[in-house]
Amino acid sequence: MSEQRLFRSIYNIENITVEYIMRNISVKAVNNVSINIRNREALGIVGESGSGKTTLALSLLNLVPSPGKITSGKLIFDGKIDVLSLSDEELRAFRWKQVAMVFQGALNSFNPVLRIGDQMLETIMEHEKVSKQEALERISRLLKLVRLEPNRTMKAFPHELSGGMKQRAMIATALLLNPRVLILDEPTTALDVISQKYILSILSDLKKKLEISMVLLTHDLAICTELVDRIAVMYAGRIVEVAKMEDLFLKPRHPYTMGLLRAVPSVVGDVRKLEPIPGAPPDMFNLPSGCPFHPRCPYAVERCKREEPYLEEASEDHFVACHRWREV
Amino acid sequence: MKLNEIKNILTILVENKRALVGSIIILSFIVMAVIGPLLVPLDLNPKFNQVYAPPSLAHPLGCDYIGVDILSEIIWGARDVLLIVFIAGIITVVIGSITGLISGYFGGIVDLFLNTLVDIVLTIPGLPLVIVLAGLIQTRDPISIGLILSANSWAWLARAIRSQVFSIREREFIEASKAMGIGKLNIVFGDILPILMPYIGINFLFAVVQALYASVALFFIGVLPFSTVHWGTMLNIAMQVSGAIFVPYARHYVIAPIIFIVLLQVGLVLFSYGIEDIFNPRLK
Amino acid sequence: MKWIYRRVLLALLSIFFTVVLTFFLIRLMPGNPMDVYVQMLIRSGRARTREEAIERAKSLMPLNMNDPLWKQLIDYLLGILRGDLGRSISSFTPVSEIIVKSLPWTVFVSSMALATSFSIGTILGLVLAYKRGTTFEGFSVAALTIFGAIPNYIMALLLFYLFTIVYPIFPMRGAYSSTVTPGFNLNFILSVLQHALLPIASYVLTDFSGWALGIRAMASTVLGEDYVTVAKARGLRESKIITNYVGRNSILPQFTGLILSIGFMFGGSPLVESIFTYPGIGRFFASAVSARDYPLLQGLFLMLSITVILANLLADLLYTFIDPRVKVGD
Repeated sequence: MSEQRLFRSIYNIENITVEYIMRNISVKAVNNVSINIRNREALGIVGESGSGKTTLALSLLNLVPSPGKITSGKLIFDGKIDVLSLSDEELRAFRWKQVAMVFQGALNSFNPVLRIGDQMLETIMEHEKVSKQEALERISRLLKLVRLEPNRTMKAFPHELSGGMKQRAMIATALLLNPRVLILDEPTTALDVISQKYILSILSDLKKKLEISMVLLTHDLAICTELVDRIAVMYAGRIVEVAKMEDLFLKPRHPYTMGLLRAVPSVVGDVRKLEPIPGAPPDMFNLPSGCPFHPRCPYAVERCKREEPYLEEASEDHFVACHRWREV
Repeated sequence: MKLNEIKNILTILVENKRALVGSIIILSFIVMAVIGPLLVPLDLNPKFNQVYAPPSLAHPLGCDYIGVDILSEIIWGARDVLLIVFIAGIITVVIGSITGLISGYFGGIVDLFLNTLVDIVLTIPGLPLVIVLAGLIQTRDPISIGLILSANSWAWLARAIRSQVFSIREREFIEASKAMGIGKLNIVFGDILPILMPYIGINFLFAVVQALYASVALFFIGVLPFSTVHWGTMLNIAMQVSGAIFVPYARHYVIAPIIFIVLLQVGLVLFSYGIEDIFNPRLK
Repeated sequence: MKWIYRRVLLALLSIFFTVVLTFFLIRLMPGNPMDVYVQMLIRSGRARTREEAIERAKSLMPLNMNDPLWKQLIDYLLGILRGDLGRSISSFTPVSEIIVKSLPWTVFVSSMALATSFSIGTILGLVLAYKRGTTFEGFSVAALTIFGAIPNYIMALLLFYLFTIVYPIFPMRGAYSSTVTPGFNLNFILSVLQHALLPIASYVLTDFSGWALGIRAMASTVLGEDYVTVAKARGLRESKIITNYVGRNSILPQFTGLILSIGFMFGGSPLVESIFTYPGIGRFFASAVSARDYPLLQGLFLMLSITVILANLLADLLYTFIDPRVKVGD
């Protein structure tokens, strides 16, 4: 794997805006977001719930539920596939084959009336012309990879598995078609601590073994440290900072990122006191003018209230959307 | 009722079209039943010169098999129809709620007994039971008819109320009332019953819908003694007694009660669904 | 397992309760059945004097009315266990014979009606759930609500009036024409279908909307479930998602309703069958009520209740097999 291949991007997200349009109000859940997912990297997207990260992930599959709609932007996969202009049938073939996703709360991701094995089998059969035998072998191999007992798991109905087991079965299902990008939405929330550790160790294992890009959505910066190469921080539907993981932890440039780091039990560097970010999470129906973070920002000045900042390169491969990053 | 509350109710009705249409229909029927008889006299004397007279200005819906004005029969009949279903609805709700409340709050042996009774009553087919009772009892007293119509409908409500009470009685303020030494019956009827009132109200509407279905059936099939102008009786006469159904120029006589029965039933169903929407929005 | 025993016990208890109820219902009511019997004999000319009528009535009555009540009850219970439901007062035929003769017609009409309305309703309901928020959906739901509000006997009366009198396309009464010979021949089958069509239509037109609205409500909930979104993300075909994901999960609760309806199927509607003079259970039930034919009424009511009780039991037991999530044991 050459260095060049590693840094080529597999999925370009350009100025994507997703709006939820209800009767007479519209909410921009994702606002003009651009980011490239690179080959074989693990990208963390961090934000509070409601920051738009799940909506962004769903738009990568062009699967935003109504009344949501991608209202502008472009999605270019592997430099050639324009995802937003695919026909229904092409889109169906694209989903899971190129980009697969483990949804938040995998507890309810499986159809309760079908056996796990049948749901995995149909996923392969709907996409590829392979013999049933071959498909079953692939299923067992992947179930073993996520450390589940293949025969028992395949015969089980979803309610017969524990939460952690379902989560792992879902990860195996996501890998069935050998996708180029795997999105994991809060893969460890709602699980007990032991299952959390277990899932994380499986994921870092996968990262080493497979040629795959991972996108990890989480509200918990601590989880990123174990897994990701790069982190994008989302706030109120916007990406406010993107940088390599170490870079972001050591030299955060956006006041919100700094706040997030202070709110996390320290993982890098010296032990600090835990401090929650002051103020309330943004009300998406009624966003403040200018920089949406300004009401909670200790560094806010007059300009922040008037003018919205855009991402600019602060140092190599480190982007930040803040008028005052130089002074902060 | 304060002006504000009336305004609130109106806003809700306008937003929920089913409740709006339903309430308009029901209100018109109530007005017809209450005020109608004061304005339109009912003259049941046969007038053979106007047997099956077609609709005209003097008789907007025409005349029946002995020349009686159909509109006046419909209007006077609305009284019987509404009175019976209203009484049946009340009886169903009262018996059902009391049984459910007692069963749910007292639990233990009382609950075991009442709940088994409810289970048994629920397995007896409703309409046949009502028909048998009506056939045997032969009453024309509206309260007795209401009791017959509630013969097993109360059990549905009792079961539903019981499970509601199970969840409510664990709430804090009920515990507080208990700790304060307030009597059981006081807790049931003073604390729990008020919480369940909207729920009981919706079920009153459902009971009325059921009672209309069954009571028209009883009169139509002819098992209850004559209430001369009940719409079900009118259908019974048109179909089985007078042979009007076979008379080509008597169509208005057959169709008139059908239209009013269907309209009232539709109104009640729309209103009850609409009200259910308002109180349980998640069921939409 | 314990739950199953309790459920079966409850069913048996209900059956016993119903048997006792039918016994007392008729005995304790005003208008002694014996008097009705005697009058019936005199009026029909089967007995010339009152004394003769009383003698005959006694010999025809299944129970000795002079025995104490508890002995009558025991005799009644023993009779039922032997399949002896007494004789109809009006026709003097054994009640069990009437049931055997009329039950097939009722089951035929009701099962056809149930199968048709369930299938139409289910398909329509799924389509409506899929077309959520469209004008088509709004219009259909309004129409379905109105259809569902019409009592089935009113629908029967309308159809009867329209298609046998105003436009005499269909036969007015009976289960088949007197000109055909019953048996396995085309003419007979066609005649049976012709006679059954309007009664079936009366049930279907008023029942299908209930099924449709029920499954639509279920399917709307299911459509919002994560596993449907995941299925889309997995790139499954739309047709597969509709059938295996939305369909299977929304139909499940409908099955309980379906099995319960099977219980009511044996009763038919006394009103609908009377309107079409269809020789089924419901029609005999209605005429037994107006003729005060107590033994017949007792027998039919008992049959009706027992089938409903058994269907209830079946529905509860089957549901645990259909839905893998339900674990027996409450």
